[in-house]
Amino acid sequence: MSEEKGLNEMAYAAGRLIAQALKSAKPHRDSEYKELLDRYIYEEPFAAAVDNILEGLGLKVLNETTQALRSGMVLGCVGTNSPFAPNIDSHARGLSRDQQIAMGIIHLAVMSFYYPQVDDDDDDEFRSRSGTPSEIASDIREICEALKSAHDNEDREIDEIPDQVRQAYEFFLALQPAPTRAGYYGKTTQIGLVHHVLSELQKNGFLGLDGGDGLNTRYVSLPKYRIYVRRLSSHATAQLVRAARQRVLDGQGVGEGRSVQDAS
Amino acid sequence: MTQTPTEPSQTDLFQAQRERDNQAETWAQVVARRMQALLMGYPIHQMVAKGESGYHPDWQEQNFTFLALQVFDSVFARMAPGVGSGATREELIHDLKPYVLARQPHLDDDQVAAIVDFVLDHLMNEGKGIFERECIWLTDDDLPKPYTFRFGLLKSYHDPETDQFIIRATTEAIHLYLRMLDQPIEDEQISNLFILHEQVRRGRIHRARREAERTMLLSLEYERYIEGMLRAVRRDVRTVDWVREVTPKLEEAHGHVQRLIRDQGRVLTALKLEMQRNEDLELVKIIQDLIAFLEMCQRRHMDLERRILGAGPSFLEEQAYQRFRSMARSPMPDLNEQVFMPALHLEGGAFRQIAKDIYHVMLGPQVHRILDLELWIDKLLREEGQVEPIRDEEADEDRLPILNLFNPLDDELEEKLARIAGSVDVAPIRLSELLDQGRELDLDVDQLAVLGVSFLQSYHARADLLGLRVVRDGKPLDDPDFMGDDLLISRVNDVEGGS
Repeated sequence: MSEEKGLNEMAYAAGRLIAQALKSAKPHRDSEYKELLDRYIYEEPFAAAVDNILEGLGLKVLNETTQALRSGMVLGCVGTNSPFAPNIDSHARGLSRDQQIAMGIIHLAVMSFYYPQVDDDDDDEFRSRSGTPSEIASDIREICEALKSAHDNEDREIDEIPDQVRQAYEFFLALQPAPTRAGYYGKTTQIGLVHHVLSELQKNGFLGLDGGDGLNTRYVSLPKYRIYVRRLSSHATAQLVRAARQRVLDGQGVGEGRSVQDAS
Repeated sequence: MTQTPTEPSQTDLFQAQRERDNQAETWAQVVARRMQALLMGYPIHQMVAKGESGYHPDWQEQNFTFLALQVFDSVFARMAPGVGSGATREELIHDLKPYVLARQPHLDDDQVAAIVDFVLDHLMNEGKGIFERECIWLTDDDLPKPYTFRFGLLKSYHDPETDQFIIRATTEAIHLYLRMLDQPIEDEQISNLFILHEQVRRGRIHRARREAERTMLLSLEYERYIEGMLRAVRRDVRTVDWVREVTPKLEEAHGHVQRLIRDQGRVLTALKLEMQRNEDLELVKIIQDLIAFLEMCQRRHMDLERRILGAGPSFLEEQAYQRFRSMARSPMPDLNEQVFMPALHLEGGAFRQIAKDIYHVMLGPQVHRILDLELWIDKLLREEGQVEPIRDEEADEDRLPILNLFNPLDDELEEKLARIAGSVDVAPIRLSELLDQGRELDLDVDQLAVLGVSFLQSYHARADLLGLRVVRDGKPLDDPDFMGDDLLISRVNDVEGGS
């Protein structure tokens, strides 16, 4: 009887922990979440129970160290058949194929903006950085131009550029750079599209808000985002984007519209 | 049994049975049901207490408990032979007279009739014997809620054929009689037949007789249950969802009755064998009685089966006859009357929670968040016409490719179709040319058919939606795989120039 009670209690606690992780809750703001994370770290049967439930749901824990775990459990999908796998229908409804590909590249470029060096990614200590849509958009514009010139000059330093990357930067460069009238930043301008990606990241708990509004909203990276950056460091397209960005930095020194702030 | 204030007895039984099936009785329903069971004998006790405590000075010698039992015996005996029958008042007076006179021989006929009326009034819960029992208990919200129980053990019906009032036992009376207050009749019937069969098989004829009487009563009870259900439906023929609610119930009842008839046939066969084998004359006589008894039960069941089978058409006819609007298959509320108007009466913000609840119930759990950024980026960057997203294979081997699960056409075919469809934008084109283009792009016959269909669907109503105009100008299609007209397909806006 008491064993059953214990099991029920553990199942409930595991459910609570997973719910908090799915909400991208902040352990430093929620004492229950913090306690559950401690329990996950120190109590092996509980950790096994949580892992098994997650596996059943098609999810897995991505945090690799207990230190990373303390800032919140980060979940990833085991496969595309997980009920939590993102899909185009619900998250990119109404976007054209070009816009979708451009958004994918913008995601990678935003990653390289926040974490320019692969070395940074391996640093255990988390550094929060921030940027606004207009800063990041101009950064991306430079990356796209670098990619374009590399392609036009058949540069060998950069690996062969896949079709959809080419499609993406051509599409991005063809967009109007800034909104035409105040307050309007739809997905048809460069800054508008970047803003869309950033706010999507913010809504899903990867970035946080740090003052400002509209195009001057300042977005700061959160630990969860960092974990995904690290996971994507071996991604072929991500490496390509990172290399292009490096070329921009090497060629022109520090980019004009770029401001990276470190805050530990 | 009546629960406040208008629910008549048969509906209630019908409901209780349904709730029990769904295993979803509320606390209040359970209490009500158990309270009913507790109060079942109340009319008798009321009557006995009244009668034996000097209600009428001349009746003090009478044993009213015994009289009640005799009334039930008489009523059950007269309900037995055929469906729809019962005892009349005169018959009951005739049956009870010897017992009344046995205690008080000096009473005249009027006085005997008065005693019998007194008993009947109380058992029917009518006339002078009327009583109600009110119980108060708390609802789920801790509010006191009065329930009034008013029920009779007997009920009188008017028989139009003989123009007489006949008295029949109610379901409660049969329950009480059988002391099976809280048991599904169907199960009881099956187990009872099983016991009967076993006893006959083992030659325990005397015990079998007792069981057979029980079988009889049970079949009576079941008949009442089905009748009650049909009556409840007839009374409310407009609001009943025949297809969803009643038909399954009738099918179940039909199956049950069929099984009873079959099982009874088996017992009858066993009894007939026993009769041939047995040499004890007295026992043979009892067996003959038993056979007669069971055959009667079987006839009743066959009759019931006939009525169950006839219920569907007759009710549907009645619905048609009364010109009720055709029933909606799913009970959709009247949005204006039942949802919108009440919502207007709610104070500011009060509707918010209700709307939220409705929304949650209707949509179920939703996954709104992008949980896995990596998968999301892969998905965004997937190559045109390629199912799998590009990614580093070695980096993460346990990842599965993203599959397009819901699209019947794979991306490659879709893209080819789109490319062919795009050629319509240039100039009006014939179906045969489209098929030729498809062949150039290595489409097989099935895929060509899909191509054809996707243009043909614009032949009629959807043409404007798709922005296409399809014209049949009589030229036959010259194609190795397909036949028909060689349609001319053009964009709506260049149709003037095109055709």
